Amino acid sequence: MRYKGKTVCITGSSRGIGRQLAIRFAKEGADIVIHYVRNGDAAREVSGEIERLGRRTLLVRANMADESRILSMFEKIKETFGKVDVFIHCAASGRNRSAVELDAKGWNWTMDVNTRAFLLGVQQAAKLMPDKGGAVLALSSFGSDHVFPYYTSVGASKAALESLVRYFAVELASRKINVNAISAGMVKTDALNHFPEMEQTMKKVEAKIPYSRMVVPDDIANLALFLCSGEAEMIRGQVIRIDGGITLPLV
Amino acid sequence: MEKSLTKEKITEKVKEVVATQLQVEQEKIKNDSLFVDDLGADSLDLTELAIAFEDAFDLEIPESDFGQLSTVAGVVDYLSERMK
Ligand SMILES: NC(=O)c1ccc[n+]([C@@H]2O[C@H](COP(=O)([O-])OP(=O)(O)OC[C@H]3O[C@@H](n4cnc5c(N)ncnc54)[C@H](OP(=O)(O)O)[C@@H]3O)[C@@H](O)[C@H]2O)c1
Repeated sequence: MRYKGKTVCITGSSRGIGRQLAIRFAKEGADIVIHYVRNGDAAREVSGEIERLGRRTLLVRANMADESRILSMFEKIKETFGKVDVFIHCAASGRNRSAVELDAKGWNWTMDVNTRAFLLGVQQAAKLMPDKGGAVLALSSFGSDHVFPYYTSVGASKAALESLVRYFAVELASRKINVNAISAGMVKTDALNHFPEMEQTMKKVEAKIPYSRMVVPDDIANLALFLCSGEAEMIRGQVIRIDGGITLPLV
Repeated sequence: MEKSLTKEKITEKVKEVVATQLQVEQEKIKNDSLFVDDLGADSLDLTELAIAFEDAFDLEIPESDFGQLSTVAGVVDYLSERMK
């Protein structure tokens, strides 16, 4: 068990990729901070599953667009566990519109939840990381440096997120805190339901992906478990793609 | 959870939240104002509104419930029922 005795905080762990990360880190021995905003029942189910594995959980509801809620989340973590070893920002939201139709409100919301929350979250998490170090991971996407239909706001928020990863990686290296990002290709989760014309887009992705299947949450978990461990000590401030090669072919 | 609120208090608080969230003057918000058709809320506003009600009243409103609530009065009835 690679994470025995570690406390791992995963934002957006009620559903999708975050949920699977929570379960996989717990299976490796970690106690888990499960975070959600609207789907308490789903989050409580994840918590139950993890407690049945014999791990401790803390369930926190916090809107990642709200600075005060982010701060109080870390207060609760401090009270319950007294430390954080790994912080993973997986929660994300977005205004799914084309660039010409994207409004300021949708832009701000997306930047706040996906990017500013990472900035504020890492600042707080770093304070709770032990002297012997820790790890931070950001969930990014192929839409940060490629164009995906209606993904404008999220794509831009992820590009800024990847930039923050590099800044934190350099600043926190002296404290032995490792900071990286995973850039995922398309993963079938609820997130896709909110995009217009998703069925056609999905078919195109399936036709273009060089490998024979789509990315699944466990692929992300495999990489996350490695990147947040001591084995990845010399990988710093990097964005690692996990996309079945979808971003490679030009035609 | 706050259990001691009267219906009047709940209504007042709901209107305050709606006014702040949807940036409309509180006087213009009627009990039967529709969030979307009368007050101009879009899908993101509705998400933020749900979160703001949850924060203000310290309870969770599942999406399956919130989807049924389209007016101030609807939210007030729902909240008073939940806080009984
Ligand atoms: N799915 C993909 O194809 C894909 C591809 C590349 C990258 N990614 C990235 O991977 C991560 C996970 O994606 P996913 O597809 O698993 O997402 P998902 O299924 O849509 O789940 C989103 C999670 O974020 C939480 N969340 C949303 N808005 C929030 C807010 N305002 N405050 C706090 N929490 C909020 C949700 O909580 P509630 O359940 O309470 O709403 C949920 O736990 C994201 O960062 C996403 O950008 C996904």
